[in-house]
Amino acid sequence: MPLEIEINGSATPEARYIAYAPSPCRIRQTPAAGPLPVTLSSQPAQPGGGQAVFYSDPAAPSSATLQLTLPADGSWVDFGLGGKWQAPSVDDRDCLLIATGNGDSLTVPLMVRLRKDANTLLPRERDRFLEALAKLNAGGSGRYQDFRDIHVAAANEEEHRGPHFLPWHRTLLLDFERGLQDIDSAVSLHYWRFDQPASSVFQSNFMGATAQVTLDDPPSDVALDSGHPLSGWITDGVPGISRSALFDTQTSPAPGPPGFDLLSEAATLALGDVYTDFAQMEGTPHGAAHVSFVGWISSIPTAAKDPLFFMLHANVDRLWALWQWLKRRTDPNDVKVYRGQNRDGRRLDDSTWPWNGVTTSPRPDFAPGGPLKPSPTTAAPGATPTIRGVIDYQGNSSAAARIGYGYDAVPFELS
Amino acid sequence: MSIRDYRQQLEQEVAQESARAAEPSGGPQAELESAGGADQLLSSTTHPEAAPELRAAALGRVARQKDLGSAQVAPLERLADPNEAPAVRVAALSLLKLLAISSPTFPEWRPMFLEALRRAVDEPALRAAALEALTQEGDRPTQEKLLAGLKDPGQALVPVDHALRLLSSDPHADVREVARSVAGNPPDEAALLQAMKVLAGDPGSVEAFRSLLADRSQSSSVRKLAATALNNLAPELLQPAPEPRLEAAADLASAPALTADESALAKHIGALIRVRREPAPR
Repeated sequence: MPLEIEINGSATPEARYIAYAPSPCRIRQTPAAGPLPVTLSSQPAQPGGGQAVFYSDPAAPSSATLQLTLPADGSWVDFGLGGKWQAPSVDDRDCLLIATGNGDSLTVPLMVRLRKDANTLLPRERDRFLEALAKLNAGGSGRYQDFRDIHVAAANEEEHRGPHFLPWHRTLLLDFERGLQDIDSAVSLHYWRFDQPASSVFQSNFMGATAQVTLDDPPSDVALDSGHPLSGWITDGVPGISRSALFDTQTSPAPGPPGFDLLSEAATLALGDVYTDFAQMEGTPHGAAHVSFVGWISSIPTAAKDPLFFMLHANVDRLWALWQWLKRRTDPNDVKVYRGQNRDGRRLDDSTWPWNGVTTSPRPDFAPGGPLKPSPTTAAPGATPTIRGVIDYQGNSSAAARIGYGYDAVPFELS
Repeated sequence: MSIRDYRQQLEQEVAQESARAAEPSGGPQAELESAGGADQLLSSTTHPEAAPELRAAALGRVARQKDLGSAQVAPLERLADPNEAPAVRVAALSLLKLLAISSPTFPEWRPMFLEALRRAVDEPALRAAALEALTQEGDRPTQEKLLAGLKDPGQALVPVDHALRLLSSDPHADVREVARSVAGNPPDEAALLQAMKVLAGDPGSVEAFRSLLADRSQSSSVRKLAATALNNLAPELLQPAPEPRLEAAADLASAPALTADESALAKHIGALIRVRREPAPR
């Protein structure tokens, strides 16, 4: 075959995962007598599969096809490849990248891998997610316990109650998702849209049938089908997932406390045009979603014992990402995008605990889990991320800042 | 929908929300807020003629109007007041749990929160919620009261299974010894199951879990939990269970139930083994 393609800087299948933001790619022909005109296109490998679009350079709009001329000397030609808006994959390698030229063609299967509304997943997407989640927990002996040990009362000041809340949790979710993808690279961290009813999520074949109680009732464990991947779930040596709901999970969104209602998506986006105003969402909808339950998820010291915690926070992060896109707030140097505080871990260029391994005051005296897990699809944000390193997550202001994930309902759009 | 149309739609929704947020509230709550303003709203939370549900909602609205760092004052007062209606105290507790998550001043008022919760334990309608919040915060005096109640039923604040559930939320609660005692002589199956959960990380309980797993007189719930614990403590002892053959038990009156239980157990063990951690490569 006279053509070679690299996706995300690699020819290996492990790197063939893209989101909406353009991934750096390149193509070349083996040395030949003359230049070779090629056309790049994309189509789903099967009905409902993913589709990609092309970027001739980082500042150009996307196109469905791209014409390139490959030099005769075999040197590389760069291009960008991103997921087509509202055409994410449902299976691994269900999106085809096709290069044709001079009668030859090369087809590269890949995946438009995005975090999706968990309530809308196909059964096979749901089951892959659950299987990876269960393997991360591995009956209490897996890496999940590190994530649980990171999110504890003694580390509160690193994680909550300030401007660092959103970027810190974005980093946690990224590390967590990369842990899932280490088990199954086709899995994303899907989100629970807590401002809408999510009857599919709260079923015995997904995150567990969740009994409705009042605040003065003790919680019970969620009910799971026999053979459910999470049926051997263990954290802190204790089996089960302690969670009951203060609302009807089949018909209602999470309500929040009386008079301190959980904000809808639109109301959250309406909190303000600058970061300091938007960051009020730490109270509602974030805190309001947590306390719509009794059981582990309702309190910081125990919340991460429940895997729903990560889906709740994926929605918090999605709301931030949506606000960033809607308000065009992606340049970390702009104080409307992030405004820190004068405390370690809260300034724009501070490294974040525990990935930095710092265990001296004012940081906690422990740092579970080690550095941030690397990804085969991007080098950002590095092993010891900073607040700055996770703000421009799609690489809008700087392509090198792209950290390799996206949401089904948050477009990539150049400012 | 194109990206452009999506942006326009969201912008319209946000504009509508902004306009709605600027409007005065309506409904029954408005009667309490007729004069408007934060002070009026605050006074409505203790209005002697207002229904507790309305006062509870007003309490939330007061907190919502304030900065997250100062919103705890009124809810702390309401939760700590033994003469306050339970509905208002429950709402105050819910608000304080939210603020414990997101208020920058929580470390300053945490001692008052714990003290208010300890008082709330005396109110039956608040006991479960207060005990849960206290144990999630790792409150040692509460853990000791719960342990004392497990050893002496006369001191028990809640049933055995509930006490064990509460204590199990803190791995440092020193509850294994009493859990062993409960598991050896459980008052009911709920207590046995909770004791087993506490002991699922106890290396000294491997033999007990093996026995429970092998004991066909135990319920499916008990045997499945024994398998889960064994998978955690000694995975090499947990082998795939064969799916029961229907025809082999066809002449037993209880065959359908037995078979369903055995089948569920086999599926459960299969799931445990499937998601086990792979041994590290040598």
